[in-house]
Amino acid sequence: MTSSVQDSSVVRVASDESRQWLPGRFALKDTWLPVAHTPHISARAIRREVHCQPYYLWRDGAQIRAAEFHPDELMHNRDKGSEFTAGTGEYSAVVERYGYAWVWYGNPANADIELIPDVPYLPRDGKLPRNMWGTVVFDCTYELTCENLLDMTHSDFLHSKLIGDSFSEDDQVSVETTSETIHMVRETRGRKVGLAQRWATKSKFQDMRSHTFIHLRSGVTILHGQFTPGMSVRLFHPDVPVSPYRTLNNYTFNPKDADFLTRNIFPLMAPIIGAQDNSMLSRQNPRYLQPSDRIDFSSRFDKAGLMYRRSMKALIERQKNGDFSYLSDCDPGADIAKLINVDRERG
Amino acid sequence: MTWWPLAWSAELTSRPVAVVSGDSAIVLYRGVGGAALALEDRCPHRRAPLSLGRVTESGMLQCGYHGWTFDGGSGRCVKIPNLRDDEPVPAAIKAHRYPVVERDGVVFVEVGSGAASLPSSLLGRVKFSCSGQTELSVEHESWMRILLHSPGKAIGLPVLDEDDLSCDVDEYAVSIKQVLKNGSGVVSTQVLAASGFALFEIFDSSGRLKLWVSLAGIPLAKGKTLVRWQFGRRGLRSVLDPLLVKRLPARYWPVHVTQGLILQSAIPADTNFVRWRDLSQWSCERK
Repeated sequence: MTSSVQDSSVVRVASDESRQWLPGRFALKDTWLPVAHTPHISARAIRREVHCQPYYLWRDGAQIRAAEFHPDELMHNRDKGSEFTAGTGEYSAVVERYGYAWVWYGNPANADIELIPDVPYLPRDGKLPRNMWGTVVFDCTYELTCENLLDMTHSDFLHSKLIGDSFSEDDQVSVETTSETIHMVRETRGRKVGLAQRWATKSKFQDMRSHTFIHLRSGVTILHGQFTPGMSVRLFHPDVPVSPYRTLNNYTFNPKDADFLTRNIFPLMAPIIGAQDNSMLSRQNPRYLQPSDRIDFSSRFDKAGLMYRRSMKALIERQKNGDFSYLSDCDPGADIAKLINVDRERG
Repeated sequence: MTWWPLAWSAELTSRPVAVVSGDSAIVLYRGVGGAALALEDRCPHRRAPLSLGRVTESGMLQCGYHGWTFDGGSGRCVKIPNLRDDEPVPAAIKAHRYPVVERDGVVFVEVGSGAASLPSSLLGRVKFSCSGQTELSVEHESWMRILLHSPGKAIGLPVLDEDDLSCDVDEYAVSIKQVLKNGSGVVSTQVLAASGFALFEIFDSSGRLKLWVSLAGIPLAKGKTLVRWQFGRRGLRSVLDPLLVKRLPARYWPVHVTQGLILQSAIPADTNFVRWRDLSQWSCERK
């Protein structure tokens, strides 16, 4: 089942459901998460966490291994493993793809490699220059970072110097959801070119069509912004839930339609933009973790965010009732190249 | 409801300032014409602090996250960026507004429920020269007890024993007079009953006003009180008079107070004092 929203209501008050929006309280299971860039994984173990569940990752020859315990202590703790490792202490489902080590969070018996999300603009072997990828940490629960990406109007203020301001001739948002994903398209016309793209185009104004595609269970977000005239910004933005107070974003850029210099300088902005986002997210977080009777007011640009909240609540409810399956309306591993307007052949 | 002295007038500009009073996060700023305004420091859109935003050319407070813009006078949201000109902003969208009064260089904000009256001017003739703030590890109520038990001692002045103080209580304020040791002067303290805003006037033995100190204790969290202070003095020579501030040379005052050394040291380990709500009874006994 696919639902879409195209209503033109200017502003509406969040419904009763939204009153009870309490992110960071439930860990959605049975999903793949890109917890580390593969170049970071060597014979020496590194530690990552998903919903406070530890993942030690190390390379054993060509293979990446993952365990709940440090490899030095693994032998002594073989019988102390949790349900995530079927009691063995070592995760059986670890996959190397798109330059990431993907781990399965959930029942290992349900791990299916076909459920790894499709990222149409990243090479499967992940071989991209070092400046194209990096890590940003957000001091908040991952639902807030996803919501942040679903309301791109924030970039008109928080990142206005780099991205461009809020003034445009027209600004429209449309949203499509399934039981596992949310896809927002924002289209603006006659927008001022931001500092970050001054090298990419000589024009003062440009049109923008941006796609935000989020996998609800994992927070894996696939972004594609097409600027005309200008560049095509392709950003893989996985928001790995570490805890209710921490989200790990191992991002990868792969911009196109720009000269060599612009393509290589553009990804260097990520830490600046990340810090700007974190300045707000870290302050929002405590206000969302506690129950509140207060209503969040919303504008038509928040349609996607409200649908995200609704879809997340439905998914959480389903998992609370013991249903961890993927419904027939969604295949997380399906090809989304056309959906987010990426020409797979061009890369 | 209480009028809390949450800022000094001099420190309030068109740049938003975040202050806290108990559970209330408040943003203060100056709007058009320099009027002091206070809103809840929480955008009703996505709960971001409005204090991270900016004041627009028209004197409105704009959230730094998504740019929703609020009128500080009414709390109403007046602009949502990206909307077309023909799309109105519903009147229901509001940030909570707090009443503000500026008096004698102090910005008072009315916080809480119930009714409160702002007392008449206490500090009319006082001009301050230095100000700052320090955080104390003490409940606001305990801070009030310490202040009222012996105001002079609370700010580190060498006053005679508590038995030698005289005290007057009216509807809104408590006035306490204490004598400095060696008869070198008198400390006159006025404390607002509700908020504990205190003005100290230190006179020398001939009755001339030498030093003013004002302290505004604001509850921050459980076990935490923020004390904002200001002081002014008349003439360098008299300030250095060792008879006036024997234990505490006035030139060190800002340093000590900034670091909370004096105020924190005034807090006994066992604050076995009368409770604030028993104040009037206690005051009468003292009289």
